[in-house]
Amino acid sequence: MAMGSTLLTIGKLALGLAAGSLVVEGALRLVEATALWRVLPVADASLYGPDNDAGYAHRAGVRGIRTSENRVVVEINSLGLRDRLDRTLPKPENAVRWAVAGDSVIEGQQVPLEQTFPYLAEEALSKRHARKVEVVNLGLAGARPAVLIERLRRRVPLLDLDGLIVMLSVGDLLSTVPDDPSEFAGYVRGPDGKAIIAHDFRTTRGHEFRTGVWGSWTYWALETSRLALLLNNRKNVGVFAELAGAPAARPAEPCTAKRLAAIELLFGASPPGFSGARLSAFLEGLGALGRGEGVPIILGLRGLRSGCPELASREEDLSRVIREKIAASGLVLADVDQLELSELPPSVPRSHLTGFGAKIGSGHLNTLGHQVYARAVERIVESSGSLSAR
Amino acid sequence: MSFDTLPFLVFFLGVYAAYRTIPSTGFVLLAASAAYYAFAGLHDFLLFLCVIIANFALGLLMRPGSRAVLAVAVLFNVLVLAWFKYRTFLLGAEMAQSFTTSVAIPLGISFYTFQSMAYLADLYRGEIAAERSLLRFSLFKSFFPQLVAGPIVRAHILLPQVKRLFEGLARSPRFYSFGLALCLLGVIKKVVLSDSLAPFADDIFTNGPANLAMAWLGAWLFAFQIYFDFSGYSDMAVGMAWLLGIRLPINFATPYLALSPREFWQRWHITLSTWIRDYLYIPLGGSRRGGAVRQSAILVAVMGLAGFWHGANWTFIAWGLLWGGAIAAWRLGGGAVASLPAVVRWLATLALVLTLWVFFRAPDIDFAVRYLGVMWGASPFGSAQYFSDSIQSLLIAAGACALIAVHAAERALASRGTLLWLKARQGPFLAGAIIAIICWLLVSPKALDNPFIYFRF
Repeated sequence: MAMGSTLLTIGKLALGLAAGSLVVEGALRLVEATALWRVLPVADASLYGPDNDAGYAHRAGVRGIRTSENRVVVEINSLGLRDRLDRTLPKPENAVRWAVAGDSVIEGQQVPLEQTFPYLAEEALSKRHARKVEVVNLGLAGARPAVLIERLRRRVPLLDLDGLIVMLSVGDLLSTVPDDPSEFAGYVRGPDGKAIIAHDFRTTRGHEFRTGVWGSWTYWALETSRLALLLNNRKNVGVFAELAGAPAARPAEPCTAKRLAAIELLFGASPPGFSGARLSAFLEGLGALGRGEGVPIILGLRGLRSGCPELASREEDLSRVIREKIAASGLVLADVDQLELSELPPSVPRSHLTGFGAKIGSGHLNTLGHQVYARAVERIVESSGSLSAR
Repeated sequence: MSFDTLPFLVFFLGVYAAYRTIPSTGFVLLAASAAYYAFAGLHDFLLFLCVIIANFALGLLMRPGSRAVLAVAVLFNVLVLAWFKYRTFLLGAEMAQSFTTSVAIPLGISFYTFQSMAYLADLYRGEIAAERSLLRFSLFKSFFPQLVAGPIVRAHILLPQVKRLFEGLARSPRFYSFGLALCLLGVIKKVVLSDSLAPFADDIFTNGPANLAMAWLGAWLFAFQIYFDFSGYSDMAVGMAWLLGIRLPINFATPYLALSPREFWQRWHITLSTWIRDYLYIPLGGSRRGGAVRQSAILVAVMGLAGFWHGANWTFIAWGLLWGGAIAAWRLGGGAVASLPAVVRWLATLALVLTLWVFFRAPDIDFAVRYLGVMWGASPFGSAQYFSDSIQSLLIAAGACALIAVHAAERALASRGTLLWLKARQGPFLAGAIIAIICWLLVSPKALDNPFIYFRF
């Protein structure tokens, strides 16, 4: 009798838990289906899946809301890119096709697709020129140099490009220790002391799970259920993330030459630790790709300019050194900070190119930032000569 | 540990399980409260311990009418508050830093010092007897649901309940679904409503309003952000305490439906308002017959102190002083104001509330004045602009109206009908549903930099 009563109570409790869960699932869907998604809590979309070359990539056809820094509906096209939905692999007749590769700055999931700089640049260039100009967005959040190379090795041959801009922060190259390849592709020290790309992630349980049947079911759940997305969101930040507290705001860096000195060392004759080997391997990898596919590659480096007047002259010299060094690999340097400054509207501080709402000045490119970067890309493409070829 | 987090949920479930299974409920809750506060940090915990012991000792020394002991007691608590919360404001940042490197305000200090002073004042007045057990007194001071952001509970309400806990006489409430429902309401207000409004209010108050509509929208959004935040927390506090067999006073009663400034303060942060009335306003002669000027002056001074209690910034002082002035002016308006239609009085009160919230939210007086200027017709100075087209403007207007509708619906919810509904359906199914919704809302990771606003006091 008592056992029966207990079981009945447990059964009712379980039903109640299920009912409550359904209410939340329904509420989240309702919010997403209305204008309320711009304000009320939603489940953050899961956009990524396993990739045998880089470790991870976008999942083709996925669509959802991203709420980091800004609220945007993000959709991944059939090619597995955060790019125009009607993009096809074969290049349109008589079109010029460029691509911009890099990390989350290029992926731009903080703004709608139509406000990302590759999209804007494509629109502007196509309007200004007689032929169709395409600028493909190859951005992938978190793409460090090794991931970038692996991604490009797979994608570039398929896209039939006329030019490629690879954008990354110089800070991604400064680390003096090898990468950890257990989650995605990373540069490690090879037998001859040079840097090679390792794919240790392929043999991890996580990768096996994600590429197996259970992984398929998991991704199906993520695309079907908002509660599954909530659990995924929580897993990504950490079950007890609140215990760690909010990260302390980084104080504005004073104008010291510390970072500049680190970059000078990196591109100098004796770079510290593993950084030199990584840089050489990365540049060689890009150079080989460019030569192999016959695609001119522009290496856009961010973070070369501090904005400190007292360091300007040294930064100018450094820019020259970097230009010469990467030219040896057949690459052309684009100083992204310099381009940014030249395209900045008058009386707008550089800090206004990033961040949203109360957090202007920190985070990723906002709408204005993407407009500035679009003009920079237009200049690069127009000065390349590819538009007047053929 | 903020109430609207997964770690706190786990903590509370553990405390509840221990409360239901271990007979010494008083010790269980005391240990839980100590653990909860210790999480804030060793220095905060040690300070709190010292304040508890000192006030306990002062309570034992207090005799009814003993002015000297009362003076020492008030001075002690005021000095603790002044040093740890206001020294930077009072001494200036450089001077304050020369004494100590840390200027972080200890968690809940404003609340527990006020609670201590109320206890000692009640002893002085002979209204209660001194608590002779340090353990019971410690739990009275540290009971975790109300520790860091109120309600400010009086000794005559909480101490007898604490005593029953230690004597093993307190039981879990039969009507537990009421506690659960309050917790759910609080979580919804905080996680769904307040946290959703915060980014927009922050944007407008950081970047400045681009026009008059944006200025009013910013004030409106902040008004509801802080209401849902604070009342949500209070609901959770009362709900959790209910589940642990403790009755805490309600702290909010739909304040934005008030028809006068005085009525607003009878509905907003009720335990603070009554504290100010009983321990400042009345002792200073506010309730005695006297000239309107004297009464008004006392009111303004007392409300100025209430504003200062909220934070060490001239904006809070201005906020309090202006509230005092508004209440006094409304009172002086007397019959002429009372004869106005209710909707006019409501709108006027609401406009006043929104106007004064600007001081509360602004980083400094200069910003507050400029912002208010935009609200009342001056040239805008900011860049925050949401009214980009007619559809967007319509959606925003609808959303803004929905907020006051939700507020009015709360009044309907807080009714006998709701209680009867909950009682009729009380059972494991309803409990499961409520727990599930709370859990999912807390699983959803949100901005980690959006703590309860009143935790900062």
